[in-house]
Amino acid sequence: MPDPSSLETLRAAVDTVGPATDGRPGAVELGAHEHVVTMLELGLPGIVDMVAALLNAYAADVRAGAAFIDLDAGERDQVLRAMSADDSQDIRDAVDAIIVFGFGAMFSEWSGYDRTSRALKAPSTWAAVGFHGPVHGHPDYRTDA
Amino acid sequence: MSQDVIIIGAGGGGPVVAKELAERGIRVLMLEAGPWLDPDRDFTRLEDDMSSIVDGQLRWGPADRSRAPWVRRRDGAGLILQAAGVGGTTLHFNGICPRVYPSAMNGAWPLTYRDLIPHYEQVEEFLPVALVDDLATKDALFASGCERIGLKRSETRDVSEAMWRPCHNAILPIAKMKPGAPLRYPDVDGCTMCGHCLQGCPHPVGAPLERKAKRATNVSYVPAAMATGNCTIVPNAFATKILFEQNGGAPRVRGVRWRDTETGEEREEEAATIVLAGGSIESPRLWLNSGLPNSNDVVGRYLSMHLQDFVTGFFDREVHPDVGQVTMARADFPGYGTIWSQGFGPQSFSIVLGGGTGSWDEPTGEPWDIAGRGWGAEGVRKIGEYHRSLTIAISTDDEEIPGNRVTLADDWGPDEHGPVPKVIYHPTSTSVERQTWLARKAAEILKAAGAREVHRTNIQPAFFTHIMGTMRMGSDPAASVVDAGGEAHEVERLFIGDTSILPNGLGGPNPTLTGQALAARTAGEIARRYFA
Repeated sequence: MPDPSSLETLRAAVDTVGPATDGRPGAVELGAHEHVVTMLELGLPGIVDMVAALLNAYAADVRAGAAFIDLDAGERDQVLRAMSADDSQDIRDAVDAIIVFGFGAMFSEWSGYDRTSRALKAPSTWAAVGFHGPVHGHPDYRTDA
Repeated sequence: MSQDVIIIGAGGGGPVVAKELAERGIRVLMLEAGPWLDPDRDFTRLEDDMSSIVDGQLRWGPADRSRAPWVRRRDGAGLILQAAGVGGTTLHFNGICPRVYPSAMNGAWPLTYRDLIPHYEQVEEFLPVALVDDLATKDALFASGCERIGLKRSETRDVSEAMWRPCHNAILPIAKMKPGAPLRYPDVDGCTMCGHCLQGCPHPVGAPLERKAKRATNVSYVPAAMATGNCTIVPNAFATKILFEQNGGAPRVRGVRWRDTETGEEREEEAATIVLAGGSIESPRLWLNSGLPNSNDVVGRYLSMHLQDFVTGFFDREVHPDVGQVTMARADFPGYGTIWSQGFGPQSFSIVLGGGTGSWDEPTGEPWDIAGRGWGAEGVRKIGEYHRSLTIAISTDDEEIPGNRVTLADDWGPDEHGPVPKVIYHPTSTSVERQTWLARKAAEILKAAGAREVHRTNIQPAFFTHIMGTMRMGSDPAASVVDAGGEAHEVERLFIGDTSILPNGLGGPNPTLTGQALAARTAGEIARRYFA
C-alpha cells in the first residue's frame, strides 16, 4: 500500500492536471486521483511512492524545502513542466501517467460506471464535451460539411 | 484431437492461417494468451472498461483484470498497445485495410507487388473489405480540406501518387437505418455508424457473428476455422517455449509448452508444424526464450512502427468525432506515409491533447498553433471543444534499421512466462523528417477545411500501435528470419503468421491487411510443402 502522504501528493498532482473549471467538477471531485493510484499500483506495485518522491524532489527545486502539497497552483504547474521536460523518459512517463489516468478517469465513463453491475450513470463531463455516450448507432451520421 | 499444426496467437494473422489450413483438412490447435470474449455479452462500448491499457478488457494481460498487466521493458518506446484475446489487435483496430504502397516494396522484399495481389484479393473478398459508400461529418470535413489543398479523390487500392480516398475498411456497408426505428438485426444489417470501433464492435445488436459490422478475426476467420471441425482454440494459454529437436544438422520443431494463465498449470502439446503468430514483440521473445538458433543475430531486428502522431483542428461548427466508423477517409503520400481522419471518444481525445511533448505556450514556428501537453483549466476547456474537433492521425513511412529491435530485457526481471521482451526504438532523422512533413500536411488540410486553431500532439517517444518487422521475410538469412514462404531459415517447419514477417513498414499504410494476405499465403505454403 502506498504511504498516505504519497496519496495526498498524487491527489494534489491530479488536481493540478484537471482542476474544477467554469463551475464544473474537477478530476479530484470525480475521484480521478483514486483511479490514478489504482492504475499505477496495479501496473507496477510501489510506483506511487516513487512518483510522489519525484514530485517532492522537483517541488524542492521550485521552492526550497517545500513538498509538492505545500506549493501553490502556479508552483505545482512549474513542477509538472520541469518533469515533462526532463531528459529521463522514466520521469516524463510519471507525468504522462498522472495526465493519462487523471484525464482518463475524468472524461471516460469511469466515475459513473460500476463494472460489476454494469450500471452506468453518464458522467457530467460527457455533456460538457458533447459526447453521446454508448449508442447502438447513428441514423443521422452526416451533417453538412 | 491430435493436431497437425499448432498456431501460437489468435490475433490478426493466426486465425487466417487456421482457417486456410483447416479448410484443407489439416487439424489445427490455436493457442491464445488472452480470453475469448463474446461481443454481445462483453463489449460494453465504454472507453475505459474496454481499452484501458492497465485493466481494460482488451488489455495486454490475463483475463482476470484484478491481476497486473504484462509489462514490457522499453527503450525509446512510448505507449505500447498490444491486445490479448481471440481477435488480438483487430478487436480494437479501426478496420482500415489499405494495401502496401508498391513503391515501398524495395529490395528487402522477396516478393513483388504482383505476387501479393491474389492474396490481397483472397482476404478482401472473405472479410470483406469494401470501399465506404458514404462519409460521416468528420470524414467529409477531412475530405473537403484535402480537396481544397489540391489532392485528387481516388477509389484505387493501388496507390502510386498523392491522393485522398474514401477508406477501404473491413467493415460491412452502412446499414439502412430509419430515425426512431430499433437498431437491431435483422431490421438493420451492416454498420450502424455508432463510433465504437475502437472498443470492439458488438453491432448490430442481435446479429450473428458473421453479420457483426467490423470484421475483426473473432467474428470472421475464427468462426470460419471452427466451422470446419478441424480447429480447436485454447484461450488463456500463454506459450512459453517452442519445443524442438535436432534433425540431422537442422533443428525441427516438435511441439509447444504453454501456461494456463488462470491456473498456472503448464502443459505441452506436440505437432510437426508450428506457426508463430504472437505479434512483433511476443514472437521474437518466444523464439529467444525457446533457445532456437539465431546464428545471424537477426531475430527481433528491423522493428518498425510508423512513428505515429496526431494533429487536431478546432472548428466553429459541430464535427461529431464520436459518430461514424472511426476512420472513413484517408490521404496517401508515397515516400512520406499516410494520414486519416480519426474518430474516438473523449477519453482518447483527452490523451491526444494531454499526452504529447512540449507546452502549449511555447511558440511553434510551424503551421500548428500549439503543440504538446496541455493540462489545468486551459487543458480542460480545450478538451471541452471535443465535439467541434477533427483529429488527423499520422502514420509515417519509418525507416527499418537493425538497431530498432525486440530483445530480452537484461535490466528487468522475468515474469511468469520467462524473461520479458525489451522494445528498443529510436527513429532515424529521415523518419522524423517524414513525420514532420506529414504533420505539416495535416495542419494544412485542417486549416483549409476551416479550422481556427490547430494542435499537434508531438508524441515522443514513439507510440506503438502498428508494430511490424522483427521476424521479417527475405532471401538473405543474414537479414531475415524466414523465407518467402514464411518458413524459418534455420528451423524446419517453423513458420511466421503475423505482421512480424513484414520486411518493412509498407510505406506507412496500416499493416493488418498485408499481414493477413501474407498469412494466407504462408498457409498455402505450409500445405504445399508438408501436407500435399
